[in-house]
Amino acid sequence: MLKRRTLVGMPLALAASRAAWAAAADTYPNRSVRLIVPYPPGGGGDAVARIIAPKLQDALGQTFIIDNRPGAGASIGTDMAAKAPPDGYTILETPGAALTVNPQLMTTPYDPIKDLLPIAMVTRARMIYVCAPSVPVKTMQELIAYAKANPGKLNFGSAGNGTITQLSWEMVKIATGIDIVHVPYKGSGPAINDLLAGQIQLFSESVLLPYIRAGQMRALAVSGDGRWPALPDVPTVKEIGLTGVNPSAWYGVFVPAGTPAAIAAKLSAVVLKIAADPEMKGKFDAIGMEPMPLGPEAFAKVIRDDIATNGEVIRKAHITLD
Amino acid sequence: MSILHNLAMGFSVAVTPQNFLYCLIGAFLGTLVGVFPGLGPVTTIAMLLPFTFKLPAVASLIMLSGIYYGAHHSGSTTAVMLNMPGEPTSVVICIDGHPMARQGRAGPALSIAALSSFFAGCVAVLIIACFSPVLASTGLLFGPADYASLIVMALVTASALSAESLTTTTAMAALGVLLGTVGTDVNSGTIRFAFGQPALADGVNFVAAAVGLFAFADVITHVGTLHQRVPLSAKITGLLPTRADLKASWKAILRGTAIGSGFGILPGTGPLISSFASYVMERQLATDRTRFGNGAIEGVAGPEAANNAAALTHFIPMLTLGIPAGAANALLMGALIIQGIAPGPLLISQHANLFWGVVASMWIGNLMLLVLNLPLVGIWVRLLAIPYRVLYPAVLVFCCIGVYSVSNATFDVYLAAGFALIGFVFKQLDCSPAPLILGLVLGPMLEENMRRALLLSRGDFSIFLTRPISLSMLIVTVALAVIFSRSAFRDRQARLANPQ
Repeated sequence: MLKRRTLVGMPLALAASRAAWAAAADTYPNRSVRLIVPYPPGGGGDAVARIIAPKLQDALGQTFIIDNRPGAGASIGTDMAAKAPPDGYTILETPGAALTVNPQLMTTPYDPIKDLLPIAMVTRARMIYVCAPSVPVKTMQELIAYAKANPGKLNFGSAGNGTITQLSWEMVKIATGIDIVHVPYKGSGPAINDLLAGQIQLFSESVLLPYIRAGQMRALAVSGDGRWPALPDVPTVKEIGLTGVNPSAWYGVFVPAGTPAAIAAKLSAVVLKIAADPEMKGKFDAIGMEPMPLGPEAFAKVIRDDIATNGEVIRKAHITLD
Repeated sequence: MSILHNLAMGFSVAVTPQNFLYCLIGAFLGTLVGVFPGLGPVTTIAMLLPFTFKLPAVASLIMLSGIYYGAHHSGSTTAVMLNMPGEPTSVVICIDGHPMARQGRAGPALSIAALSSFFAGCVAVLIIACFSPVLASTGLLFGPADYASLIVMALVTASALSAESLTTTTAMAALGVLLGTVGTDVNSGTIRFAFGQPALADGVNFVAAAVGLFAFADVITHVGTLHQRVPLSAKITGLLPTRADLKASWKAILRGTAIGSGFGILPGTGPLISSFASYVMERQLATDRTRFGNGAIEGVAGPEAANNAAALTHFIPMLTLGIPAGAANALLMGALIIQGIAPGPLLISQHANLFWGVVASMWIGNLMLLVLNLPLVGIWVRLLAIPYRVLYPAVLVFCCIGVYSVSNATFDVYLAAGFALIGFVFKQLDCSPAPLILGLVLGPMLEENMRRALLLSRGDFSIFLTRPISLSMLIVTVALAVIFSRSAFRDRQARLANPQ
């Protein structure tokens, strides 16, 4: 209801204030800004927002209020941001799934490319491929050989259908042709539980360091370019030579499409500066992420590439939700 | 010896003025949100999470845990006074707690609830301190097949909840299970029965269901009597439990504590199952079952102890393995992660201060809750003196705020309103909605675990019979079903023999 009224009123308001909008960037923001996070408090997506919000506040002089809108695999909050008035006072901070996975699996009420404007990528998380210590392998190559010798024997858990935790092993399946069985969970916690209990043998997540250090999981590979300082002995999937295996777990900021370019540019510059700030690196490290400041064009390219890669995996692995 | 040493260190952390203050704030806030139906610890912790980032990790965890167990402590207040569970885990307290209040025994009911919560809390903290590492691995023994069988057992147990016919309670539980199928199917990711509503994609919000079926339905039932007060069949007779009350309750408290401590360790199931299980156990063990549903004090003492013990032992998987046992634990873990502390198997050894400080604070917090709650009993009892026309609008407003705040969704408020109508019909038909709530919570977990077990066994159903834990659960289930139907039959014979 409210939505329709806002839209009807919009052209009038637009016409009247077109001149004012050009100057809007100078005065932006002159009231508090809503920062939508399409996940509940406490997770990775929320943590990034909590870390950057005070810095945005310092830089722009207005309060950034975090608004957690979880549900439907981040689709609810993402849609809310996509449909918000494009004035720079509603922005979105989210990991990739809602944009690069959901629209390919279900009918989302928003278009990830048309309805949202990328502002900047903030961080990237490394996906760590792990196996239970009971599996008699030390490396990814050995695992692939073991899985080929024992088809249909190993199970890999995921945080749910269509999540990056599933796609990352589906990519390995496609690249190597191994036969491993997907067992979906509701979130990573229960999957970790069943890996520790030996119910499943394989998993992939970004928050597994404590278990690896305690010897309860064995790290086989990590995603991303170059070795990860946190696990210097673990090779990247690229080094191992698995082509097409490129699970991408980024966190970035968006505004609704149609936001004045000057405001978008101003926000983008601020977010990039925050992400590149050496003081922030320690904070991101603590939540298992690496700062990855990427401007709007480069970020948009990553999103398009991810949509293509994830789409291919989804089709090849026959992941459907209907 | 080393445990004493560690506990001493923990207490030295917990009694610093700052940590003591945050423990008090947490316990106080928890008590407050526990009282309001709909508004729960998960929402409160989520709202306060941002404020804790500037606190030291220990203080933050002490306060947030205080909110969590404080809410479990006081969730029974409105269940007893108004027949509205403040927390879903207090659903069973309504069955006997509210009749007690109507008989003028609200004081003893609330006092025994506070005392049994305190006792169970102290025992559970002792269990966490002494046996955390051992118990953590016990939780890992439960695979998907075992969970599925455990849930079947819990659902069968629910059928013996009330004096109503077995058919009615079983049907209500089944209806709950059916409602639980709404939402995203974990195995295929398909969204079922959501009618295109994105808000239903994650299933029927169970806080909305509980508030609608209990609180709202109760308001509708009494809407024709707005000018009246709660009909009290007796004058309020003292605030503290009598010697006879204590004598009747102490065994129930011990049994409830044992049940709660056990179920609490298992992620997911926890406090709700244990309060139901404790109630059914007390009812089955009673020499005179007809007292249950009519203000039996064991029906308050046992479940209340079970619920609180489970709420605390629910911390064990989180503190020892880094696995959240429930939504509130997941938020507490989030608070730690943002502080730069990764919860996991090394937490106790790497952050001994934090672990022992929080454990010690739980003891202090439980004592605070007792001191906070006992004097409040006198105030709560006067709640009944407020006329409906003043009380109910206020209750409705708080309920709506609570339901909305779960995921900031107006849809959930409408959902609660819908459940209110269903709940009203149930009330007219004399069907208790308690088994429905249990079914709604456990149904999706049953489906998820059963299908996961079959996925792991590659479709072989014998997995439920070859795993020792699962097999024993199923044997107990069959035994319980036989016992319940026989005692239901006897109850019926007795009713037919002397009709009133």
